[in-house]
Amino acid sequence: MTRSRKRVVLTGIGVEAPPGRDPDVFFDNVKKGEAKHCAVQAFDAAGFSCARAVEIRDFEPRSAVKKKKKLKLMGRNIVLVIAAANRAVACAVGLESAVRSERFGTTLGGRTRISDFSELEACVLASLDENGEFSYAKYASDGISHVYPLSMLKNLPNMAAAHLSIIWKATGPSNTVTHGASSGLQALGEAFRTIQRGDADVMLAGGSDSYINPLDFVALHRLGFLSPDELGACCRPFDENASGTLPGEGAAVFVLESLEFAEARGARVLGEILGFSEGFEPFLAAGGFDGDPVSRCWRRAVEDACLNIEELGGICLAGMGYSPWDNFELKMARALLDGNDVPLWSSRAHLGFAGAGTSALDTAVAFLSSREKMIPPTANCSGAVSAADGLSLVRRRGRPAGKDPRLVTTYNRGGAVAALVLRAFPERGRS
Amino acid sequence: MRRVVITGMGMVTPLGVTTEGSWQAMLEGKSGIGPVRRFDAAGLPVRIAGEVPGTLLNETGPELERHSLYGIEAARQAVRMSGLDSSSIDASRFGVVVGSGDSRVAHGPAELGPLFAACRAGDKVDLSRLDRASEDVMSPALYSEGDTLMPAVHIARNFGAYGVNRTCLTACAASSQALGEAFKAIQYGDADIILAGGCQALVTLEGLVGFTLLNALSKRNDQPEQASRPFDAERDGFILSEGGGVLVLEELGHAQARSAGIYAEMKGYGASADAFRVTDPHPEGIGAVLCMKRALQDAGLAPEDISYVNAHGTSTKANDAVESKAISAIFGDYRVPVTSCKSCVGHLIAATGAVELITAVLSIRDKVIPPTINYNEPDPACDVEVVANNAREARPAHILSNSFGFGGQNVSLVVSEYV
Repeated sequence: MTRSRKRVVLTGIGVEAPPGRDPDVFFDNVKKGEAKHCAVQAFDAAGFSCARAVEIRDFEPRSAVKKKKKLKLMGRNIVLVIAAANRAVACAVGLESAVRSERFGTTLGGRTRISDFSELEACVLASLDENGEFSYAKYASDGISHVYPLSMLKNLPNMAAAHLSIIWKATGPSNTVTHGASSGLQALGEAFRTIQRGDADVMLAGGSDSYINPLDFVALHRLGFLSPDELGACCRPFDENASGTLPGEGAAVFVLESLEFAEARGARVLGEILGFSEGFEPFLAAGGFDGDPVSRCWRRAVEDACLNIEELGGICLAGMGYSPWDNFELKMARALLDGNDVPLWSSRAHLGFAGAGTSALDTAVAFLSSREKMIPPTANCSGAVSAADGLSLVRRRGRPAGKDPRLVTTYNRGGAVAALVLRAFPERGRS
Repeated sequence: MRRVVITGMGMVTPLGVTTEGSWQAMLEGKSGIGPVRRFDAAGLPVRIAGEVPGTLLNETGPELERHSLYGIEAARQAVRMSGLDSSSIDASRFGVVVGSGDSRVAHGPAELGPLFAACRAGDKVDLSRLDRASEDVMSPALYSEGDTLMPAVHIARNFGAYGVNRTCLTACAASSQALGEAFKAIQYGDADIILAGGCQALVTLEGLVGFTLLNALSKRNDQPEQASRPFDAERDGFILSEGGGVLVLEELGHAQARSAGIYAEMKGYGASADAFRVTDPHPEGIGAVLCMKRALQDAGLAPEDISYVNAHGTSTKANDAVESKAISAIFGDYRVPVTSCKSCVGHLIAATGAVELITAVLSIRDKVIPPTINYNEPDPACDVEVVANNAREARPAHILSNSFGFGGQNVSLVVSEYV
């Protein structure tokens, strides 16, 4: 069976994330062997089981969206992705004047947003009866008046892509993948395929999310994979003393173009997406893994890229810092590599659990790793890592990587697995 | 080019929990809309909805939320109809792609009631007690099961599908988009068989009030069965409903190899964005025109090849008028029959596209177009040929099905008789 091998290149990258928003600053911070986690600043988390986060400290929404009126309809997840998309499109010099609206699409990873805490607080407290119980009648008479009338439009996950399509007049295909932590990578893969099959020339693709609010802190705690303060509230991917992950936030957006279109408009090509694949592991939550068939997912991504395993320069793992999942990933790596020596790493400690932005941010790291020809260390992985015996897990300090292709891997807590292969070209030119 | 056929389907709607039950009721022009029973809606401006009747046996675990139950049940019916035995195929090429909306969630107002009550300090919530109090007051399942990602996960676990596993949520276009992306994944060679469709259970306080505040819902509380009236001059909004629909999409050779029954063929997928406003559809329906045009091009068909249009037809003033304009722009002088299943079952939001595609497949099988009920007074702004009030005998060969989401994301699908 033959299929289109239309090449899809990267012409823009933009991030808005805790390690930085300038790609050089972002990667300089990601290269550090240690990530210090601080108390969350966005709200007072005293009394929470985990009070630390991986947070963007100095983000000014008006830097991304000039009109205050428009900001009323946007949660932080949307403003972050607009900021990232602004930078990505700015990178892709000449794009806006060259692309036809109908051939320009947007596909993002996203999530239904939780309303602002102050709004929920006012609404719910006003709906409690004299016994302190929630009353539907009181909600109807009092509580409802505290609900922002356009909250549905603010919270629906597809609104981020809708806003991007409005800003750049992109009337091509538009989708929103809402599959947890794997969403960003799956959105990138879907955008890749959309261009490959000829349904668009250009796609903005990536993901965005923010877990920096009280109710998401509670949710992650109750889901059981936050590192609690009493154990150090520290994200330590693959470390035997790993105690969980931390809430995070961030956005990463890429400009994908068909090579044909990019060349025709004289674009500066930064890199290329080479392959993509998806799969499912039913026992991922328990760290279980019987090798087959999910291991085929990573292998198929490499085959889709027309590469052999040994041609990979590095594998960017999700490395959540939650041991059952970390063990699953290492088993997947072992099954894929089968003795081949390819360096592995995770940048999770610098990025946190950023929901639908997680794997898009990882993709940004992988791209920069390829561009800079080096593998960053797995920050905070300083203890014993016997589960990684025989694997080249990079930690403490980065190391050079001569080969360009990177495999980026992700999963969600339910067992969905996805993998993408990309490479960066030498800066300022295409090899 | 690989061909993709439909070898099974299943749906759960306000008209019933079986595919044939819902379909027969639709052909008889029945309405699944009634007063909200799931919670006390007495004081709310909108008090009607389309709720799935009865209860579904939850054999997989009592903690599953409704959207997963609807998705699993729809998938169960679809798999049974297809005769698929997942142990006899390459399970890594058997996937699940679902347009899944939220169900009851831990941050809904009613769910937060006990938690905020436990942490109340005057007219504020004492944040310092919130996290610990959640351990006493909120079940863990409420956090894990309401998420949009869970139905695809549960369906994959239940049916041994270890290939692509993905969820999308372009609002009301979600399950049509899932079907389109699944179609393309099989056509491209990333999978051989996919359970594709959608599910949502948004008849919750949050869902009902959220859409009410957007002025999107009908307020015909005293006549629920007449409230959903797509294209009618007296329409005043859509009816919030819930349910699930799943189809088995399969590569033709794969289906033939296991002697599967083939019910229809997926022929076209078109997606677009209005790129206009998040609050309103484009007044000329440019996004709708684009996605219909793309779906037809993808199918290699001309407008006059289409037997009927399964419209998005929500029963809102805006959508039905804009969609009518877009249909006229595509079909020109050809008065293509147009019908909307939402007249019978309401708007299943993320699940609506899949349920409507199932009705299209059934219309091919039974040679009948389902009616648009409650169509009593034509609206000059909706100048389309509505299949009014009664099912119409026909021999549909190619059907165009539309789904347009809040925010301006649009999907059209073409499904055809298998020849």
